Amino acid sequence: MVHIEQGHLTVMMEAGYVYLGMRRFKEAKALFEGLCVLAPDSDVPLVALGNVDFCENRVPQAIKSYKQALTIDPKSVFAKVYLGEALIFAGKRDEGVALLKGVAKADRGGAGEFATALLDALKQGFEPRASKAKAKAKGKRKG
Amino acid sequence: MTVEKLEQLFNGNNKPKAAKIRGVKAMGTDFGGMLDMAGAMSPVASTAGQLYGNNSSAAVLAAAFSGVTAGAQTMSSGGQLASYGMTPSYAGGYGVSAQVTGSGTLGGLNSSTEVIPGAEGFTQMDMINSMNQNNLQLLELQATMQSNMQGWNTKSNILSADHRARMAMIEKFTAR
Repeated sequence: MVHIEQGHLTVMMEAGYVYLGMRRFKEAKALFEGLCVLAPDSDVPLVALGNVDFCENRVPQAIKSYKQALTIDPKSVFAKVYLGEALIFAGKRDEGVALLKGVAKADRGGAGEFATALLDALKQGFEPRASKAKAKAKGKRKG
Repeated sequence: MTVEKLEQLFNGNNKPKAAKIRGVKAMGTDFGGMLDMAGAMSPVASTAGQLYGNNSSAAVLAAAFSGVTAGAQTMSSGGQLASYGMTPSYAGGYGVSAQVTGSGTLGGLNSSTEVIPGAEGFTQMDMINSMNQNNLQLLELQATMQSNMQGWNTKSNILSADHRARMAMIEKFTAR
């Protein structure tokens, strides 16, 4: 295995997020996939990979990556909060909210803040597009 | 815009401005007549008087057109407006016109009197109806704007929190 210094890995991680911000998903994914190989003991590259899938509206793949990250670090608040977000978008609101509440309680840092912001949005009536579409389809089937 | 054009506009040599001044003068004459007429329409005055504690027609008209704050909260429509986050003065001003329509005393107004000189056929009733419609549209617009603002705030909160979470993730990765 090629050894790469941690500093370089961090730069790769940041570059991945810069690509993601630029909506250059392909490049971001390539970087995060590489990081998953180079740092197999970390949950972070897998969460980042899930972020790319989520941004590309591939929610099931994102959920898969987040769950995989949780197998590496079952206490990962980042994997939990993003999994919660993805579950809500996948129409599994209760599961997602439970995860978000857990993270909001357990973490006072970035993950906790993100969980709180999502919970606030839900409280204010925010409904993700995916679950809206699902509800619409359900209504049509009933009708 | 050229300098000549600006001078023309600000020196009062242009026709539209002159027309406006004439209009105001004419309105002043008509406004006196309107006050006299308002004195005659006792139903409107008494309805508003109960709410404002003043039975004079001048006060009623002044309240309707300038947005008096006194007693605004006592009006049902004023309360409704306040729920949209409008200021009490607006609520008072708009509330009066709503009350005039709502109380069904529009019959007291002379529907054939011209209120804007030169605009034939535009009566007091037309003006009040138009004001009410404009007010309703303004309220709708305000509600939409508030809803949009709330949406943007929510989105902004989520995006900034997401950014902080990502930064924290990179920190965690760095400290590995």
